[in-house]
Amino acid sequence: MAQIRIYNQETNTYLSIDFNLQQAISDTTTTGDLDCYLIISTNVPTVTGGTFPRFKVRTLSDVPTGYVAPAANFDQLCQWYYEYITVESQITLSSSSSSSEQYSSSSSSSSECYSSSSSSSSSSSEGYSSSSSSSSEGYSSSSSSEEYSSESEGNISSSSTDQI
Amino acid sequence: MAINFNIYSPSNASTKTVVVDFVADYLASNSGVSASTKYFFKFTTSARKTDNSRYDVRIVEALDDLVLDEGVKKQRITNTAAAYTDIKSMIMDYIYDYVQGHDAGEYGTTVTEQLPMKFN
Repeated sequence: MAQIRIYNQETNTYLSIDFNLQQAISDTTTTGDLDCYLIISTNVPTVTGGTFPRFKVRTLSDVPTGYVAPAANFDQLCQWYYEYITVESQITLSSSSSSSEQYSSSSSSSSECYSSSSSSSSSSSEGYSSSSSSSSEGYSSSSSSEEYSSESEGNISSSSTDQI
Repeated sequence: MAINFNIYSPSNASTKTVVVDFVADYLASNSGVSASTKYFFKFTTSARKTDNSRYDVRIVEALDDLVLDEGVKKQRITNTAAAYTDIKSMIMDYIYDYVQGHDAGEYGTTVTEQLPMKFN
């Protein structure tokens, strides 16, 4: 699973965006084939205080509303979702003024959130990696569409013990 | 959350596992001046090939990262150069390649020989 964590310095809490690889028998086909897809979920609140839907991604054309499909690769696709969610929720990011590179050491001061991304694999080793946030090309509009509704969203409440 | 694919060999009554995960990590090839994480699929297995050698970890960043990449860029199952249509077809093709291996020159003279998975 890949996860972006967004740290709020004022409340010492985290929000997160999760990218989960999942498999299931698809209920949309009559063949009963196994399907594999990404589920993108977040506990970042929308600007109105609501919750984002869970996004189901099967192809590189499953992009957020307002972006031009297809994404070039999964790296770009995930950055678009990150950008879409943070823009929609109007989270202020300290590193948002930086270049198009994904990593930026935050320098500008007047903001409240710091973001990091990390990954974990159930099978092996790789450790923690921090990074993130950028503003890249493409975003334009607002309302969300491609949502995946299934079980209710697991609300990952922030753990105050975590440290960057 | 990783997905485990168990591959069973009836003739050997044994099972091997290929683990597929979606991660965000630094790639060594991407380090240097521009340090950034990359999002990609990662295939790992502790199974061995029939010559007892290990499989390399395989990285997939896009649906046009085709499994046969030794100069021919082909899908393993269909022998086409078209990008995979979805995540499922990409994963299945990579799993198939892990299990079956392929012979030198099967789809072109530049294909490096690989060996099937060892179950005994």
